[in-house]
Amino acid sequence: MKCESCGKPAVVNKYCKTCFIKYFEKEFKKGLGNLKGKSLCVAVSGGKDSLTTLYLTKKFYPKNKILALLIDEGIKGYRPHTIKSLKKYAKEWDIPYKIVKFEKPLDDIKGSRACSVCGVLRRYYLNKHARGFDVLITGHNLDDEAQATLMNVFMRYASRFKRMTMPLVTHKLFIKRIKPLRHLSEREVMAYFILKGFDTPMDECPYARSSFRDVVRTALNEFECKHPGSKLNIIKAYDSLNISNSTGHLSSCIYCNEPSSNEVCQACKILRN
Amino acid sequence: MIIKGLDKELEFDFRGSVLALLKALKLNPVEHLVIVNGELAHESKHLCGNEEVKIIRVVSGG
Ligand SMILES: [Zn+2]
Ligand SMILES: [Zn+2]
Repeated sequence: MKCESCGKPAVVNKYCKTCFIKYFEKEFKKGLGNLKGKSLCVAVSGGKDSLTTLYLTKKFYPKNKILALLIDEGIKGYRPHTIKSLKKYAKEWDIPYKIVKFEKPLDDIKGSRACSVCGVLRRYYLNKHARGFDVLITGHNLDDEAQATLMNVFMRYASRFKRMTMPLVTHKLFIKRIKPLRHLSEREVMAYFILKGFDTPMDECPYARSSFRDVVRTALNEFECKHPGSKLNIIKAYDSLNISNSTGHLSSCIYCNEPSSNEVCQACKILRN
Repeated sequence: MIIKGLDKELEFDFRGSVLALLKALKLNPVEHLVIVNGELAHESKHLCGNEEVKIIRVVSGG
């Protein structure tokens, strides 16, 4: 197959290497929006999605204040590998980084709900440690977002569904989030990562295989294979709902003072159990 | 051909497109990329059987 834009042999989608990189970066830039003069905190895990996000954020906003923030969940034999990658690339791209560890390693608190516990704590630490920056940029790709949308529907998680692109309640302690890979698939991100010659351990999180997300991912990808464009349509349908958040009152957690709708926030419930 | 990147190295007698190879191995093309002789290969690329092939699962956590 030939590249749709220039006629050279295609390597991914309908593009050759050069044209794919151009397409990918253009989509990313669109997802970032205008961040001139803003201070940017990029959430990184050291995996391909977040490293790509970090690299391109710096490429498009080289003069902005940028911090790479890594939350270490404490998963033995998994996270340490990608921390090494982060350190290597942060040095190469001249970006300062900060690593925050879970107060209790996930390996000790996982129970049967490792992924949801991890999700709550990660969101909590990211919001807390990115404070002071204008925006938090995360590496969620199209697959992550489409999966989360379906999971919230299947499980009827109404409030999680509503807060997928912004917090339910506007609060000065909630940092604004941007997901520039939201319209780019995991496969496209991996292709970009490979074509740029980047490298990082590609292990799967040891908890991923036992999660509900994994079930949804496999089903959704089988569907995508038969009906290309489905994942993007899920995101577009969600966005067209125009869910608006409220500016109602939000109290703070009695233990940590972080914003919370209950007396004790979700994170403290987990950490103090 | 020798196929690397899966759980174990695989010797497989195959001629046809990259897409057909993935289908023959029962792998979803949405979840995999294929490197042929060190370069990312399009699904439509034809394989003659003597290439060095590496299959990459694009799904990775976190
Ligand atoms: Zn081209
Ligand atoms: Zn708390």
